[in-house]
Amino acid sequence: MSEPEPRARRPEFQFTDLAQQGETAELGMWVFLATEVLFFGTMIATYLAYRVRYPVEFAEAARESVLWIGTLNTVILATSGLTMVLAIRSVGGNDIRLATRLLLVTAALGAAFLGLKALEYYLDFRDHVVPALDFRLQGVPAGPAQLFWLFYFYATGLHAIHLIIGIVLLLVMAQWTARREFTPAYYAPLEVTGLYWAFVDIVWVFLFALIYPLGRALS
Amino acid sequence: MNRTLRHLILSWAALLVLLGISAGAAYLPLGVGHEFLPVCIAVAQALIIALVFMNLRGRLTVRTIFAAAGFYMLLILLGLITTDYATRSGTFSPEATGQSNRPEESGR
Repeated sequence: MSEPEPRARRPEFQFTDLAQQGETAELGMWVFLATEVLFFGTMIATYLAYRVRYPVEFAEAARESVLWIGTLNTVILATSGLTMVLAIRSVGGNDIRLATRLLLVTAALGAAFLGLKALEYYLDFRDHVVPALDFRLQGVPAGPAQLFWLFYFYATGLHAIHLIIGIVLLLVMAQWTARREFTPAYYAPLEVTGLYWAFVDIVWVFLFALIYPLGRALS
Repeated sequence: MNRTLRHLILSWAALLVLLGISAGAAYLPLGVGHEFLPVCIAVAQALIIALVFMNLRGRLTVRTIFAAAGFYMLLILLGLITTDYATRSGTFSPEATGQSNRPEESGR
């Protein structure tokens, strides 16, 4: 089976060479991620302020979250983080076919996360914990409990949007990899996508810690 | 299996072990520990992801500084918010916060 020849790539006009172009792209992603840290950080800071104000109500409300889905989704995302790094390594080792497969596996794991998230939202709706639309939690003051669930839907929803963007990026990268756009000398777009994907994973481990373990030990 | 591959797989395993601790400890009567343990575990997990999966290990470069800048600004943000809420009167005043008492945990 014949495979397409790697393209001879030249740096864009403003760069001296491909290495400089790659480093610049990576630095650009880090700047973007710094803005993302503040974006998610502000939301989490607001959550913490209200959690300190209403510790009991937040714990009672958080008990209704679906821990097994949150845990399974964390496993899925951690595994996708591993397959992403392995994909980048494979391109570095010039194993294009393995890299393409690993990228598709990473995207599939991302899709599995979203599928479970959709199931979780369905269960939340069934449990009547959707603020404003259908919120009926027994024995808990509705106001503070709704604040917790508002954070839950905002934070996990925004995270899901980031994940969808990541999956699209992964599919594009898989296509580019299969088309032999990348060589061991230049695969910066793949590395930049890897940084984004790992960051989405970092955001999730914090969301998990703030949402799921809370309130389980209450009598 | 070469060294870096082993590092990657060990890091992934460490992430899962930490997750197991976080989820399992949720059911234990740890009192105020529940406020800190999951977040401390999340910080450890984030460090593993940043150092290994985002390849931030090694010597200090301009990349490390850019990566640290976001978290530095976040610390300033959290510091200012904490100072604000700690010194406020009204909804978020210490007196108002004290009204909400922690119920007994199971297993005590």
